[in-house]
Amino acid sequence: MNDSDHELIQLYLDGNLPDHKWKEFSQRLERSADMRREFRKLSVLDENLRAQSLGFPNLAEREQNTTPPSYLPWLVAAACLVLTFISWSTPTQSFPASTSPETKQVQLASVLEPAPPIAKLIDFYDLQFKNTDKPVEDICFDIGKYEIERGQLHLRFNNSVELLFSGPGSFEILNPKLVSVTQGNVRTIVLNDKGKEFTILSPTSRYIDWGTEFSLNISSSGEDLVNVHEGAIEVQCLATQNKSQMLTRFSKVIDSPEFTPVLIDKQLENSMPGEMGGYRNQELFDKLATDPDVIGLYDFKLPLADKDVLLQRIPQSWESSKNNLTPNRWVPNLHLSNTNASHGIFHGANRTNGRWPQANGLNLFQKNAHLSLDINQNYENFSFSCWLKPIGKLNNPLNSLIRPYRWKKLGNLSIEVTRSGKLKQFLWGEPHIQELQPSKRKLSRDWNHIAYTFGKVGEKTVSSLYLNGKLYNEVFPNFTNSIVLRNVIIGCLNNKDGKYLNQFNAVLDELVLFRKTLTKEEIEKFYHSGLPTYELNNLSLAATSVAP
Amino acid sequence: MLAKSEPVIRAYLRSLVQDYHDHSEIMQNVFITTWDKFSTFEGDQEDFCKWACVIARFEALKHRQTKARDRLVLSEELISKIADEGIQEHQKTSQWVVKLEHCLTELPAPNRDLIKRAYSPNQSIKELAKEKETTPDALYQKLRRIRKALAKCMDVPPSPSYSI
Repeated sequence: MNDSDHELIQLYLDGNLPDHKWKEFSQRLERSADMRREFRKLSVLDENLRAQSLGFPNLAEREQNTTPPSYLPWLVAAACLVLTFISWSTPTQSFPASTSPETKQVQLASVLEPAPPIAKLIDFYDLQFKNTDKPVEDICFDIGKYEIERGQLHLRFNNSVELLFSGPGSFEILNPKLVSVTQGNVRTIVLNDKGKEFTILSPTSRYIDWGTEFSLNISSSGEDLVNVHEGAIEVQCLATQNKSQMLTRFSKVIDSPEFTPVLIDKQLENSMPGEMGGYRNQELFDKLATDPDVIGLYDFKLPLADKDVLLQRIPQSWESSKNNLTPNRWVPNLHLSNTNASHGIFHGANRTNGRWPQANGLNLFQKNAHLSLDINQNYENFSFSCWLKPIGKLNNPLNSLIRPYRWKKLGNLSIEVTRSGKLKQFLWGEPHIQELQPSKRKLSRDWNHIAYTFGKVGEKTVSSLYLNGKLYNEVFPNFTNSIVLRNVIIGCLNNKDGKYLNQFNAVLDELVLFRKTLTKEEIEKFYHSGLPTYELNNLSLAATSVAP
Repeated sequence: MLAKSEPVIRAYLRSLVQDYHDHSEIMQNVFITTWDKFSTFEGDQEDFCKWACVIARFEALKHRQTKARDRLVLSEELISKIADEGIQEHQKTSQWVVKLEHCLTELPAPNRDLIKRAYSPNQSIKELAKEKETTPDALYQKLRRIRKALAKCMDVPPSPSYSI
């Protein structure tokens, strides 16, 4: 075994062995047992380095992931006691006297970077595992079996495959590209080339994903329902492994009789990434409910508080009609301590599906539809954020998003959307302020995030509008020092004659008012926190809608 | 058992299949077959590893038959020989896997970083060479030297605290 043998092996494993050296390599390998041994050793080296780079756990991690026997804590405790006794009884012994294997192991371990689990937890909803009450966030999704009593789980493998699992059922992670499912509903999305060949095993069949998105329901009766949304998957029958069939979204039936347990169901539409985002969003709202910089927080769910409590913070414009109001017209301010903003009351609108399943938004569908609320103070620093989804056409040249009931003094703010979906901001008494670099972006037909900020940046006062996390336009007011809204109307305007005009034909959700100037970064974070997470990492998505 | 033995089985299969894409496909087949036939298996971890290697040998030879017309493949006899020796000495493969993780930590940090990046799926040698301001040939040479050093280190007996 010499250097040139070594080089030949490495060239072979790299796939760079020139044609003319192939015969020589083959003959030398045939003759020399030493070279074959070295060949096997270098194969170990090559394969393990490659596997680790693909996210396969190394040996130490596999050891860690193996469930320890129940008597192990007692053994550890006993060992600690013995070690304590030894260290107490031999005080003269210096440390480290020599590098024991154990010490060396600790030193080496500190050099190794902690590897992430095979699958990363992205989201979950109403999730209950069968054998553990451990919080889902604390579960390490590595090789092993997971039994789910109910709920939904969203995992990401190797930054390349999204797996959404809905229980009841169970699945087993066998390696970063192989998951066996005994029962349950699955949606798989391959995000990039690294994720190709991701395989789901059902009790009867094998589904190899070749860069696609598909839904798969595996029942306990041994029948699989499958629907390919994009791309192609290969289905193999486990009983006759050589038989396989490619399925695309155009496939209507399985051709071969061997595939009888697999049925195509074109209606099958398992949960999408982001649908579980309601949980994340609820967490965000819980956090905002105690944020001292938040003055108003509205999620449009039906109020839990009774009418007497709600009446204590009624918008002024509804004061005279308060006895006729029914609780379903109220939109409570959910902030737990700040009372600067009142509860809201809507008119000409109704609750409809919000951004998430089981969430509500406010459908401003009638010509006089609006939400009223009061903000008691003037704010030198002010921001607001909301999500909007236009429904049908924007009917008016200007469609009013937010403004005070009376447009009459410095500090009054109005945000309007043009018929073509462009955003405009107006400040009372500032007719000549110019938008810097007006954006050409428009409101989309989907959910849009709109944020507004006001406050001093250095010496200048800046009034800025953001659309979907990005700056839309900003102006530098000459006279306005604070935002004065007081009696706010959202969704249309009320003219001097008391008529409601400029209805904004849209669904409104997650309205938040702040007494601070949100930064660009905060707005971007706010926008992203409400999106399907897979969009965050700039992963190249194969094919799905971005909308939740 | 399968999870613990996987690095050894993967490495064993690597010595039998040159093309990495074929390798990962065959490995999936091995996984599925072992998973499917696990009910018929009796024995401990070591037996399991050997059993899975026999399945891998069978799958690799089956794959070799599909490539029989290709001029640039190792002969069936040679693959069988390597496979049989691999099964006979599968404990040695286990030791190498264990030892490799130690050896990697003993590499100087720049070399460790270099070899990890060279194996990263999104990294081409050409790009890496450009980044390191060297030529791809020189980088290949350097990588071969690092691998040779690692291979030498892998033959030092493992510490007793690790076992498969």
